[in-house]
Amino acid sequence: MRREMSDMLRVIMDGPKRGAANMAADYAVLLSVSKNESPATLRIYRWRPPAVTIGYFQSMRDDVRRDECEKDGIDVIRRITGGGAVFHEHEITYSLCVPLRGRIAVVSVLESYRLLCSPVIAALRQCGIDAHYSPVNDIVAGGGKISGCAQTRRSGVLLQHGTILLDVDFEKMFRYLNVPPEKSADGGSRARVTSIRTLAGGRAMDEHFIRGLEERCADEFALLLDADIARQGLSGKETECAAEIERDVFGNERWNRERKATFL
Amino acid sequence: MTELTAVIKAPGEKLLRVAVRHGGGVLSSVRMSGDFFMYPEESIDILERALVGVAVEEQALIGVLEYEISHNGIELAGVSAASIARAICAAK
Repeated sequence: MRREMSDMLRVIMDGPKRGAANMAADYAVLLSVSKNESPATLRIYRWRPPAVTIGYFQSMRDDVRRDECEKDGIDVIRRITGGGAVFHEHEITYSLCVPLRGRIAVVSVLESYRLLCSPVIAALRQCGIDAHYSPVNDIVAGGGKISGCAQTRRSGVLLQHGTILLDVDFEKMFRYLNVPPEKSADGGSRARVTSIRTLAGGRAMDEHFIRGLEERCADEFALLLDADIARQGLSGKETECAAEIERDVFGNERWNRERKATFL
Repeated sequence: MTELTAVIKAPGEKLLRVAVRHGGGVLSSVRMSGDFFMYPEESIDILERALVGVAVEEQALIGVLEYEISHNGIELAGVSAASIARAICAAK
């Protein structure tokens, strides 16, 4: 029997991109999934140069030390997903675009976070990290946050951005992000954030280990969605669309500074 | 009119920052930012606009916010009408 597109999870193991290009690629996939031109998609990617993303509702002036980022050549981009500012350097970053159908469409926002954190938790556990869900949007291990995610729902598609921290450079994190004292009142980021390196040592930087964790994430997302994995890249149309969105939205100060954009 | 600001983090919620202007106890502009979630995201513009002309008084602000949230089917996570109202009243 021919498998329908709805039974497929496209897995894209992508190379490194600039910040605006990464955010544009995710948006192009969202549009393509919404038009039923692409199946549900998990894209795992890297950032070059390292980048800071801020949440949809955050303030470019108050939440990021933009001058420090500029000095060090760090990209700064506003995401279309809510949540907090992230310094992306040593991490596994993923985006998941799934049509809002079936189980995912009927659960509450909070429940969909729990549901879509579960594949990452399972993958981490298979790699020896005792991970647990921590509402709303965190995964914790060894008493600290090891993974965070943020969702948006647009055009009948759920897009989840997520990261798994391989290593954290607190000196850089505090140089680039402006963490208000109110945020750190409950222990401070240093106490609240952990990484695979902290919990499992040097293998966090081992390419073989990282690939293994990425593949387990893909397998677990496919299991959750009851889908078969199809390995493909972005379509030609998605690549063209991404370039347009990069130019008009994520590479544009009107969006990054003022949260204003005309989306396609 | 100078802009007044407040930053709060209610227990179990995310960080919320407000910047407001008001004259004679009535809001003339409101801007909110933080690491919270709101669905659909563009609803933040509806809430910010709806608060213009409202008295800087917690119950009045909560009333307007709750009406807009329910009327427009807005979902909030990590922020609430109560904390937005409290932050606006605390702005200085």
